[in-house]
Amino acid sequence: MTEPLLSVEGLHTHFFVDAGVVKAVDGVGFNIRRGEVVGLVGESGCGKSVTSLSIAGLIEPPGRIVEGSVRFDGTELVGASERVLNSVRGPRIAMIFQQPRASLDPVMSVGRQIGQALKAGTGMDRPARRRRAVELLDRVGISDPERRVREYPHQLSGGMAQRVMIAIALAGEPDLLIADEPTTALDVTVQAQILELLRELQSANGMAVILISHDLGVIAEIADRAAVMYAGRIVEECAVSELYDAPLHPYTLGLMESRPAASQSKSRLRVIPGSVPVPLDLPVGCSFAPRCAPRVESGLTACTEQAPDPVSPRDGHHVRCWLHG
Amino acid sequence: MGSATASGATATAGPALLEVTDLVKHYRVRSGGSMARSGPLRAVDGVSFRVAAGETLGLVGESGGGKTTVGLSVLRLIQPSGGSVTFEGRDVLAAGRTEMKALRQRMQIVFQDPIGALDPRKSVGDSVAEGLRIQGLAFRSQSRQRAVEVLDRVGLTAAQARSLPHELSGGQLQRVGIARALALDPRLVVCDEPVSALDVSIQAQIINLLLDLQAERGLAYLFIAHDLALVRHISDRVAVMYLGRIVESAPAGELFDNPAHPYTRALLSAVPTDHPAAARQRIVLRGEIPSATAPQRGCPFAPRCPDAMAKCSEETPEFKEVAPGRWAACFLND
Repeated sequence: MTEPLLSVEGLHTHFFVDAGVVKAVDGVGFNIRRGEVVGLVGESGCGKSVTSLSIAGLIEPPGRIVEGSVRFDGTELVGASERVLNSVRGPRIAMIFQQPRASLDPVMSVGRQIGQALKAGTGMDRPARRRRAVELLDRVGISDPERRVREYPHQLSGGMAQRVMIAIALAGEPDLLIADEPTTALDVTVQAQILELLRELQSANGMAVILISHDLGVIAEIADRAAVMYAGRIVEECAVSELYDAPLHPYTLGLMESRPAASQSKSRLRVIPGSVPVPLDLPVGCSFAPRCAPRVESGLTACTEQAPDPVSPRDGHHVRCWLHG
Repeated sequence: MGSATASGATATAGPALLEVTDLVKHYRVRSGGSMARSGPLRAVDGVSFRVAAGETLGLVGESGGGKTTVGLSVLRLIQPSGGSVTFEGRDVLAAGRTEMKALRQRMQIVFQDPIGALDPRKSVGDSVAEGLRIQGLAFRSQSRQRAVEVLDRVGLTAAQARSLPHELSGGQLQRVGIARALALDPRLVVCDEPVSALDVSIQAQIINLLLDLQAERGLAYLFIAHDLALVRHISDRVAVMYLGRIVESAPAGELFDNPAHPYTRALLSAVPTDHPAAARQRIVLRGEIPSATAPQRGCPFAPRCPDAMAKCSEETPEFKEVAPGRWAACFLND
């Protein structure tokens, strides 16, 4: 098997705040092959965004990667110099976020912002950059790109601003695109357009994608594999279809069952009791144990004593749960 | 379009608790600069519907469709430009100060962001109690007791009742928002995106609470949300809004299984899949919802409609009954 494009191992990213240490990412590991789409799913505070910021080397104090490795195409990024990081971030690993307009410079035209991304990666002169910017806008489905290239972010709708962000991300022809809740702020119809665009660009360019979302449906739309995060860890990872058909972790199962589509109309929904633990005060043992009904039924004591290590009950299906190992 | 009568628009069995007829809300937009050709912004442009006691009417559509404006108009939290709102037989838009205060007890609202409706320096119990005192429903000591009771009903402990808003989680705050509405013992609650800011596992808890309260007290809900799966689950009937108008309304199951308007079809097909293997025929709509200030001629959906005919950009389709209990504004149903 060829070496993965990205390999994350034993990643721990902690935030040192007055009240204590927030272990936002607490032992995350996964691999991504070239051209693969991996969904990172979980509720707010589970560490999915901090994981992606750690990969891109964008963690700032009071946060710090305290342990672990992020290898991208053979280069170790944890502890790498700014020069190395800058040669990777942007041209080879690009990111798009939930709030595209907040990520765009309000006083710079769309064309110049794409041009800057091109300038960083290529030796193109100004007219060539302008031509390429128009091409990229056309590529991401913006009509009348000759006109739009001169416009400013406030003149764009939310969906168009996200297309511009994608055009900027594509400027360097990246090997990996990290998309952090790229459609969460958009209407469902525009969400469908953006997902369609990402899927199409991904298969045309052979780019790998990490798609971060709280919405399992969005992950199911375009991801090959999914990793479910809870309290700073990946609790389950497998092919998306297997996640739907045969989830193993009680948390994944709970998320699946609490979807309205899973119950009769107007009937009570299945719920996961309680709420996500406070990151400063994580329970001993498995973080999900206090909310886990199968644990109570099974009478397992290990769950509240020791955190489970990942096991693989099936080929390519990893789960952190005492019920399975 | 306005020719559809409210009584027909969304007929229900019982007498209407709430009846909205030809509701209009226009905003004057300052013209100038690049917006020079703007007319008034037609946020709501002739909307009619009924809600029976104990019933849930879901209101869906893209942002900018006018859903929230309808919700606020029903409670007269904003003053509509035209039309009528009748609640329990009384004319809401003509009510004087005293009558309005009485009406507000009977019709309440739950917002997406409950913290915006709470005083940051007051315990949430005090905030709930305050509502009771303002409405003259209880004196100070009684109001505290009632607040604790109602917070207990929504699943918050007496200790949590003494908390300040910032000490509670999003799900707990939404329980407070529901308790505030519930304390006055309303008949109708407008729920404006009540769970969209919450995590998935917490959403289900709040939806169950709303369902339980409805079964217990016979509450009616006007449930505004963009999450279609959720709306299908909680609603008896659903109305779909586009650019300030209702383009389709039907019993929830029928609307979702067999939509009669191309906009409803496109909206439903855009919902992310239930299963990765479910291959779907997606109708990808061109562009986004246009500005409601653009001059209108013909069907407002025609510019984005995959099935538009020549007629659609010339004439406005009437909102009419296309099958028993099912209403739509589209020439394709002629």
